[in-house]
Amino acid sequence: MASTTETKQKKMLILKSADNDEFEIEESVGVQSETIKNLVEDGFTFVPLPNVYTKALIKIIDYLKKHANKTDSNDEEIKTFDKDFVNTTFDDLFELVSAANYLHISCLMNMLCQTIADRIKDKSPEAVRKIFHINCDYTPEEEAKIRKANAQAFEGQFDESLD
Amino acid sequence: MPKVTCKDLLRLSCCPLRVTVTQAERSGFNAESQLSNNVSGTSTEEHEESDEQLTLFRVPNEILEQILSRLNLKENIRASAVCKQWLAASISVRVANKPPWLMFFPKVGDLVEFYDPSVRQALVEL
Repeated sequence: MASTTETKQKKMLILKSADNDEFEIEESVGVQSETIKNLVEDGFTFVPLPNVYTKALIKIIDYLKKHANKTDSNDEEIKTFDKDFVNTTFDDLFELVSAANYLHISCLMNMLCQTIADRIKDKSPEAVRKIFHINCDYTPEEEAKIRKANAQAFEGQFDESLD
Repeated sequence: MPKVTCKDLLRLSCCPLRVTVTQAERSGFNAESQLSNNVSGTSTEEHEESDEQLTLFRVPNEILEQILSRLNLKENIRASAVCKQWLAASISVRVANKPPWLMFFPKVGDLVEFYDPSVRQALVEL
């Protein structure tokens, strides 16, 4: 990871969100994203991100800035930051995970997928549908068949909460 | 400063865009053919409908697979009851517990036979 303590003049990048807001960040911060890194290597300093909305981009820039300054001494601080970062609604997490995927930030992607997985693993299929805004496209027979084939997995109490 | 249009960016960027619904459905078709009789059609009309549906998927397939791959088998099976997209994704990342090999003591000489019940194949080792 690039150090931000470089004495030479810092190169800046401009990121443009899907709702046309522009953000200026240091190149060393931006290149943690593979997508941005590839563009920078091709000589771009202006990076439009048509798939990333401002709300998600602000959070992601925060994350990148924090993680660009990673040293041995602020390990705990970053852990706390990450914990706060994912402590949000499912809808925000989906926005962020799409953005992280588009931007190819693997450590963020890992963290978000793990968080979503942890938060849905004890939930019932009905609760998951509501959380993901999914209309069930099974016929009742098809669903019954799946439940019957693996009855063991559907035994017991599940978390029906939507957060 | 070079001017970049969205189109240029899409061309330059190496990152794959969202998987198309046709792909998603195709994998659903492979995974559980008996459930996908009504999604296997590829008429234009249906395709348009699928595109519309794509925007309704909050999480595209490639991301969903990454999420589901972090669940254990029981949780994975439960996730497959959510909808057809989830069924296809959960099956593609499902790692079922493999049964252990059986070992047979030497019948002749030093040859030991291992038998893998999942593929019904015997392996012989010295």
